[in-house]
Amino acid sequence: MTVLPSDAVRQTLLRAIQIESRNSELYESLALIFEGYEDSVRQTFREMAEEERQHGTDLKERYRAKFGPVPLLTGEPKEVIEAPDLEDAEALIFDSMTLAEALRVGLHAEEAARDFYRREMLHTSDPELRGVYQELGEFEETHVRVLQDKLAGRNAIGSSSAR
Amino acid sequence: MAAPQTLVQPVVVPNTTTEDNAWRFDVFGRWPWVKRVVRMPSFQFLLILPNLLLFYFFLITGLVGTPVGNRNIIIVFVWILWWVVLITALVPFGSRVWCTMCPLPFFGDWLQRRALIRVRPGKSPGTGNQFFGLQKRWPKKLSNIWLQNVGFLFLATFSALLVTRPIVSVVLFAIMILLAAAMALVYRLRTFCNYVCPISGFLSLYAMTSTVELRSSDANECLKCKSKACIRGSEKGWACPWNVYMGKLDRNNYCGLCFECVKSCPNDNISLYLRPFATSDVSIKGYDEVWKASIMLVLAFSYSVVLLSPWGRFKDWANVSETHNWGGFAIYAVVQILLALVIFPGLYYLSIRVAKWYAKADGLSVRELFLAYSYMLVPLGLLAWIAFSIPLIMINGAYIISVASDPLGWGMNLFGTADFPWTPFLPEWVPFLQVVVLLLGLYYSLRGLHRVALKLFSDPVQRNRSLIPPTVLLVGVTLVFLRLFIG
Amino acid sequence: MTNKVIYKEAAAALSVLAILAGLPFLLWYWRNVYVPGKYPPGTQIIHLTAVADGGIWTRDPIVGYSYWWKTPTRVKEIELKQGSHVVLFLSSPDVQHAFSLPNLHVGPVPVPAGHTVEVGFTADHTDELNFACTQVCGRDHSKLAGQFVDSQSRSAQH
Repeated sequence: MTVLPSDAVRQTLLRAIQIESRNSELYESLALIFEGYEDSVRQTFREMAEEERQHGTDLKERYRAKFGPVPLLTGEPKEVIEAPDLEDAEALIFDSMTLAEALRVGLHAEEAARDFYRREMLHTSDPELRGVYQELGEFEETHVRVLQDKLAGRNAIGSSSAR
Repeated sequence: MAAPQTLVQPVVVPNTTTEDNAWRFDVFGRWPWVKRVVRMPSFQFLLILPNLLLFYFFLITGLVGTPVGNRNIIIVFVWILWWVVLITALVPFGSRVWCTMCPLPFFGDWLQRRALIRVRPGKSPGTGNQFFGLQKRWPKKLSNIWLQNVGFLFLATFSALLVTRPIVSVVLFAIMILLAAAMALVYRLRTFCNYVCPISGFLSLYAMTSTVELRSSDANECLKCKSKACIRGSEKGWACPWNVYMGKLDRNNYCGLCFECVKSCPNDNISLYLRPFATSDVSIKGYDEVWKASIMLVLAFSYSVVLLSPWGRFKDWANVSETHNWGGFAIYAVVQILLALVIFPGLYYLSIRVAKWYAKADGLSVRELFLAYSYMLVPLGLLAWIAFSIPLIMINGAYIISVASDPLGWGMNLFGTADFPWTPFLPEWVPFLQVVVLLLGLYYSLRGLHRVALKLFSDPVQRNRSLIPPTVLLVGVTLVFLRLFIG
Repeated sequence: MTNKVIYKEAAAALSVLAILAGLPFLLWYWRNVYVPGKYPPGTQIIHLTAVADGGIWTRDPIVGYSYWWKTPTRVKEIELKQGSHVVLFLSSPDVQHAFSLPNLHVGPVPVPAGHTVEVGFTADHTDELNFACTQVCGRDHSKLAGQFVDSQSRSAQH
């Protein structure tokens, strides 16, 4: 079955909404790991979860503007782009998870998403779809800048100091 | 209608790290019954219970049995049999499988979980299980293995007493059991095991060489996982007692193989793999680990000099409880500590500085090279300890047979072997075996060093130049051991 | 929590408690019931340890917990009932000793370090039953001596 260009655009936006929703839950689960343990990190992940929910809301607004009501989304996106994760399996053992590290987790995830959309934009011939990828890429770029500013503001130190 | 079952082929998973090109064999994939066994709620308890019985018996024999070391089961079974099995078999072929069945934290776990078999779902700091106790956070400054380094070095300094006097071993194990229990009531999870237990310290280092690993099967599944139950726990399994996040685990050091994550993972995404010896885990991440490697290598040398060499003076110095030669003991202790903490790390540092200079490795800091190349001390250290342990079992192994029948020296004869004489087993083969083992250690160390160098240097000339000074050091250390073992 | 889980937890806890209580009991039973039970009633069982440092025969247990921290009590005389069967459990916590009771033709019996050696005899008479260590065991070797005395004549004296 041939996917109509507008349908590809619609699917792409829906996928992006799903990813933001899933990532919000991922940040919540990361926050839970640090609950009662490292409150600043927990708070940071909670804030990122809220930001992902806000990103999802923004994307839903764009979807509504183009296609109308957002359908109920079930299932999980199979991509893992932008999926935030702890970088170090032993972060809790060596207590190396700082607020700056938590911001880096988010930053890496947003950079990965930005780069993904930019690559997709280059590989797509459909102008409308390219436009959507460019929009999403710029969307993620603003998130990257926000996190970079936060990181700079935290006087980020390098990765865990020598033990 | 279910799809017809296909024959399960042996699952050999090519390693994705191209420079390794090492094979991995999925044990759970090939033998699902193994996974079913480790998923049993009573698995760990049933494994620990016999060891609890044994160690409790050892403690009793140490207290009320003969004070003569080679006639008391605590000395013979712990410092000969258990030690040799640990260093020659369990660690190289089973990683930290001793930690799976270790009875020392048993009472601590029991107090903390208030359960021996069942899992308590609930909420405690950072976990999805209900734990008891104060659940405090271990101090950040101590969140490393320096305590273990110092502890092990301290114990090793008194090793002549520890491995010959039953009561000293009793006191040590009793302190460890009590400390583990007390810490479990104050701190989260297995804080004792992670930061204090001296056995854990060297197990963490040498587990890197092991032929088994517990890893996530598909990293993407971990990325998408919303529960992170491997580290947080769930109603099916306890939170990781070692505080390890399986989603990114890439080395064996701090995975205690308790298999709780296998129970709790909601995606069935964790498996046990076999892999080649001393191939995969090559990253040393902190100075504490570098010093651990140095301490262990120096102690392998020191133990060999004190316990195996013909120079009785050093043994007398170490055996201060009998000789009361405190001056000699002080010399032995200071020299050993200086060698382990200052001199040998200094030699290694020197080799790194020369390597960096000779290779003109301006893009790498001394710290990066110092940490990265320190892996070379791991295989040689392990094999040096194995070489030390060979005469332990071949010359003194006969005591195991007699002591098994008369464990307390009370005149029992449980299996009819109480009068089995001390009989060295093929003593003339000992030096040959030691040479082979040491040369194997050198080989694996050089191979590991080369593997690390491949990751650091793309230019082969730079790479080879950087390898020369550490190689000289490794060869020098090996020659020292060879001189010691074969004259 | 289901009944099955409760039973499993209870069984596990009981098995641990059984080990903690059972092992010491088993050892006590072996030493104080099983071993004496092997001999006819009225047999006198004596545990005697030779200590090289100080040349001491002692009836104190020289074991792990007491080896360094307790000076053993020297035994110079041990009371025997004439005609009784005696079983000596001889042990050494340090070096090889040898037990000899010449007037009853007992020994020399080697007592290796860390071992407990069983020696049985009948006290046909209790005259001059001097015992000693006959294996040079240290500078205090000559002090390792004692005497069995008749318990009936001893109580008559008192």
